[in-house]
Amino acid sequence: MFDPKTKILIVDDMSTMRKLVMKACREIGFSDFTEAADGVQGWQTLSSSEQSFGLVISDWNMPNCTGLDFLKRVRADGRLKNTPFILVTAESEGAQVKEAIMAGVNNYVVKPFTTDSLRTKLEETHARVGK
Amino acid sequence: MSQFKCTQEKEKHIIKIPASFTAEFAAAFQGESQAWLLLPAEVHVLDFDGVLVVDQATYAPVLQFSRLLRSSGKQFRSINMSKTILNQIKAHGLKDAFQPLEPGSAPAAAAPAPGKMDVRFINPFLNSVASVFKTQAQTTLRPGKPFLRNEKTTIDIGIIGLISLNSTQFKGNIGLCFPTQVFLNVYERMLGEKHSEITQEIEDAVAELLNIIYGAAKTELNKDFGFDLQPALPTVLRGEKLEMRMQNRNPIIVLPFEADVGAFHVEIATEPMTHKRSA
Repeated sequence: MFDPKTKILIVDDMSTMRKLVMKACREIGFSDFTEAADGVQGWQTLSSSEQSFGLVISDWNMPNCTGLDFLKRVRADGRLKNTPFILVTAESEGAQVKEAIMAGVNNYVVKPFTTDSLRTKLEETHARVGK
Repeated sequence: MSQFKCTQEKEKHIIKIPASFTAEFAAAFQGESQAWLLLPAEVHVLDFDGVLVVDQATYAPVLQFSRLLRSSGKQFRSINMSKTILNQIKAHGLKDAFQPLEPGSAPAAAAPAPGKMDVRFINPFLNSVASVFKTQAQTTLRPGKPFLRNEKTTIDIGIIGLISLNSTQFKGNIGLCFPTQVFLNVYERMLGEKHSEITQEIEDAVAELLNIIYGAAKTELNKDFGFDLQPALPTVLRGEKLEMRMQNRNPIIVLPFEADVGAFHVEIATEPMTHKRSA
């Protein structure tokens, strides 16, 4: 599992969802969160931060810049490309998820999710990225 | 570069098998199927249209993929197999592994009649609402008996999350309707925050709940009945004595729910499409 001190970037245009993700992550043991309301803000936060984020959890459908486009931007950046990235989706959009897998997403979570299901996804992700 | 051309059709992931499905493709299938297993598609289909050769070396990776899918509750099928290939598969005792879809499979379901309590249509919403509230709001719901709203029906509604239903067969609306205090209780259950009035953020929570509920129900309805429901963005209405009404005045189905946070309901209104939208 990721270290409890991992710095997590949570990206979602709905503040309720950001709170739900943070609540679940807190229950898992994390405490260092930064929020962004869409992919544009997410990128600005990720790229300008002096501290490195250990994990990004991003919604899929967002205005200005979708989670997928945000992911592609992260994977194209030399410094940030290996940042663990999880996408959150409200429904099973198969073609989109495949595109995300091809773009290098580490895992995805389908809403609704419990703390336990998120924990499982985080453990899977950590195992895959080898951190 | 993928060795297999894949497409998405509704909730199916379709994998086109090459005309000569030989040993050289077995390793590629084995490797690429690891990624396919991660996909959310509930049904994975091997399309054998135009396939002339299926080498025995491909049996093992296909069998493994089939088993892994079924162990995770997903479906696996093969379609468009020629008679020759089908007989070969059967002769090797692999009909169960390949699950070929033979002629005479089930026809698509008819659209729900407006104002009729079609359980095929209602049950996915009942299940989805119960599941979302259990998972996201730690609230166990007790569904009441669905009924048709009429002029005498009076229900206290302070906030509605509304989504338009749009498919090739019908259109309509679905509303997630709460008395104000009940949704404040739900919000407190979800996030541990107590509020005395509805704020913009709390309105967003109604929209998000409905988004998740609709997404899950839509997936089931499209997969099982081919309703071809499209993604939609929810809107939120807030006020006193709100009421949902369709222009054609078809009866509206009410799905009532009770819980320790209070009572609320879902309203569903549909009417057939007069001009079919092309898919």
